[in-house]
Amino acid sequence: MRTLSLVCAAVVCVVPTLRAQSVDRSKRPVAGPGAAFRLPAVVTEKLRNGLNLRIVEDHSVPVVAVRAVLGADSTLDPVGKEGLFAVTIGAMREPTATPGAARLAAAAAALGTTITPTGFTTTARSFGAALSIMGDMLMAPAFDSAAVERRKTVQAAVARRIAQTPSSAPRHLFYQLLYGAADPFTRSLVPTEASATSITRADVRGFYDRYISPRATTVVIVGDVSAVAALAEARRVFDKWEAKPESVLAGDAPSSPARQGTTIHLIDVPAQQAYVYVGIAGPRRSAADAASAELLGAVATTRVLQELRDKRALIYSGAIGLTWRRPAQPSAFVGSAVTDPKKVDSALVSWLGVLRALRDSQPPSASEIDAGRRAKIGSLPARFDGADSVAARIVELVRDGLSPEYFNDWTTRLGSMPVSDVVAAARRVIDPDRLIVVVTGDRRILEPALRAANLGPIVVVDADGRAKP
Amino acid sequence: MRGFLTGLCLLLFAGVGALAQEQIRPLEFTRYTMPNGMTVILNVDHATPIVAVNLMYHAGAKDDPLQQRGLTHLCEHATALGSPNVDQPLQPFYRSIGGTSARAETTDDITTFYVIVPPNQLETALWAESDRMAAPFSRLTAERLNAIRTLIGQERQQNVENATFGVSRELTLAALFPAGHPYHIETAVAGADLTSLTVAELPAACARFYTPANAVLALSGDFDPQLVKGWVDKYFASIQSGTPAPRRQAAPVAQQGERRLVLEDRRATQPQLHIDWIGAAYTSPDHAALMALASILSANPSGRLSKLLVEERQLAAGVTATHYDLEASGVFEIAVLPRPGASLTTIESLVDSVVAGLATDPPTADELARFNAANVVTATTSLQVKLARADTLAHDQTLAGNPAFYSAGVNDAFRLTPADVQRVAAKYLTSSRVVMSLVPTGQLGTISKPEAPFVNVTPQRSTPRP
Repeated sequence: MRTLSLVCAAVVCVVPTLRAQSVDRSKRPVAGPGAAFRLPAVVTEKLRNGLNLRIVEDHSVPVVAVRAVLGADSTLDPVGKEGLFAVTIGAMREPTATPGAARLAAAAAALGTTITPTGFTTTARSFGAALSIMGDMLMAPAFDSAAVERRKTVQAAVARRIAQTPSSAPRHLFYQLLYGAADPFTRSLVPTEASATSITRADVRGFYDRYISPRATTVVIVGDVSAVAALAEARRVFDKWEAKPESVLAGDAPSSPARQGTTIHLIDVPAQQAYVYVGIAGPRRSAADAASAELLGAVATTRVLQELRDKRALIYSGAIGLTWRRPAQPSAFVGSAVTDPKKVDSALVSWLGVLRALRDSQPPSASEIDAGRRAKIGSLPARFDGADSVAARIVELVRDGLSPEYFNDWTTRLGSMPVSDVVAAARRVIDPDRLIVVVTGDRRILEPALRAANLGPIVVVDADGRAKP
Repeated sequence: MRGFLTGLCLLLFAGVGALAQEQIRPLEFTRYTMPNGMTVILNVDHATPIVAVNLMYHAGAKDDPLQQRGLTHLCEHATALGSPNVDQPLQPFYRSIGGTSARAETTDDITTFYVIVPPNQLETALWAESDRMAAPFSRLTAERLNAIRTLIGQERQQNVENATFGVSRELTLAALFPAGHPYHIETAVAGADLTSLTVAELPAACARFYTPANAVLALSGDFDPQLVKGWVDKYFASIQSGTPAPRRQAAPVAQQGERRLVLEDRRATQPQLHIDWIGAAYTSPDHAALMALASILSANPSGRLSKLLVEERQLAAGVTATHYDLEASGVFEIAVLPRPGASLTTIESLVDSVVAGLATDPPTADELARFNAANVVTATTSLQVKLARADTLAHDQTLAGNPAFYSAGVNDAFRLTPADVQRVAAKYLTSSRVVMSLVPTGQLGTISKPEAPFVNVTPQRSTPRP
């Protein structure tokens, strides 16, 4: 067995000689300069069939993480067939058309590794065998009828679980109001049992043929394998994948439904707690002002938590930030929390007050921005801790069409961002008169309090978003 | 709060894949005990410029006095307000120094404070944690105590009551363990008997938990161990050892027969079936065999229940069998998510037939090999992350007295025989169990074996706020 520095024998030390002397803790330690963090080097390759590779060596742990970023996701589900992407990927996990596929499935179980068409994490020793199985799933799906039916059943169960999750309805309505009901992202949030049931084997095959191809796929390999060996393994597995005409993600139709004034949308459902969503469209991730809006989100989160949690105990947790979509689309500058229905009016008054103050009377201060900057930059290395985390960040870059240097540039940008940029972002992003506010709960409790708070017009809807009288 | 009991999966670390060489080695660590009783564990890894700091106290909900349910959780919140020299709650303080993942958790057995900090802020983190340990309730006022009670109510509502069937876990524990047993508990809620606890009384009630002798400090990441030992000495050595916290004993639970429960939820759209038994303690010699049993029953897709219920009979969309760890006990659960229209009664009968079949149809060598292979991969991959390493080292030191206890668990599993698994199945999966039908409100006709006597445990109202 290879011995890595991380996995050698335990050392139990002798007890150090210690003397219990009093210490003056009123003197806070002075932190030395922080070490600059650089993204691990990413090797970029392209196979003859057009398949893209991103490889990162990390020999700290005998683990390899592999992810496939496909040229498709659930935003490509046709209207009425929501869940098609998920069923297709699920059916690709079933025994493939390759002779001996059952043997491969048994091999996967013997490896003790969960392998899907979009990735796996395993020991360095099992990397090659697992990549073969994942490649077979990607390149040679059989899509037999029984497999498709099994996956439809799973997807129907997923749809039922989403339907009974209390946060689903407010989240869906928020994005429906932000992007429009027909927007592919909005639709992808609520696959239904009916849409899952309507999916046919031909739909699945058609989706695969149209969107899953080597040219539209990027395979990310991170971990305890040399770049040379990773490339050789990728070639061994994927070189035989025949190139198809280029298939790319269809651009979502940009949509921003007309809104007039801040309106409270109240979903009348039985619940012991009220879900609150407050937000508005934000910048695209590739936009020049995206980083300043991120810092604004950090400042806004701190203020909301101080005001609503620490001072008034109105919420247990909550956060405000940017929810990215693919770069062509606006993000959402959105916050959410759960609160006592009897306190939802107080929570909303405070929340909207924080946002208004950030824009006008109390713009982000230099110290708040510094704290947000330290939190953002300081936490970046933790987002690269381990092969899985590094792979997730590379997937993020590929999915959002960002440069391999994105995180390095982002750190520099945040580190040098003037206060005025964040103040400007507050004025640009926060429009207190056009906020989308969604609340769930018992109408009998919430509506009178919200009307008394006079925060804006109130529209009462059912769990499906239909207006109620 | 941690999730449904303490999971098993993040406790292991392994080396290689080949069966013949599957002896795994523990993380490299240095351990020592300070004169005041605090145990320190250091795991150095320079791969990423971060340090995970985990300060674990051996105090959980099972240590709550009978008349003060929820005390440890209340104490956890009370210590998070800041300390004599940290004039703000610890979470925003850590954020302000570039820390991330700052959290506090109280489980059934332990209370943990953890954070990831940049290496240049490690001394500051140790200073802050020592300041908290030296005077854990220095920022507590009557007003803040009231706010904490409200916040704990919010936490419970958000994490337990607001989730569909979210109360099933505590109802199951309450049925498995008789009243008065340490695990007959409600972790998240500060009970009504704490409402009268004043700001003057709370420190005395809590202080016994937050002492060096009851603590393990585990660090994992990019640091110089000699430098860190000096800092730990500087900031923690002067804190008095404290009086060991008295522990309630978890007496063995007598066989109680089958208890059939029904839980309704008006938000639910589909039923579920849970069958729970009392399992083995974390350090029990039966622990590995119970984990193997769970895998043999529900590993996807080869597990016996998965094959029968999901593939062959197509009655279920999913099946899980899990052994949840507790320090002094455990819970073995089979949970089935049926397909629409599938009979819970039929599913329960089939589950019973598979469990009973283990007596005559022992686990195969392949089934045990698959379990061990998955065990090794889980062990290897789950401790990539420094936070998981610090947590695992502290957890195993706290509950087993050995930071590397996890590695013994993986290695021991390779010696399991089919007879071992048969033995634990017969010993634990007995008729003394809890069968819970979880159904949408009003659909009592869909419960499993409706002709059998059952207790409807659906809460009639929200838990009273302290």
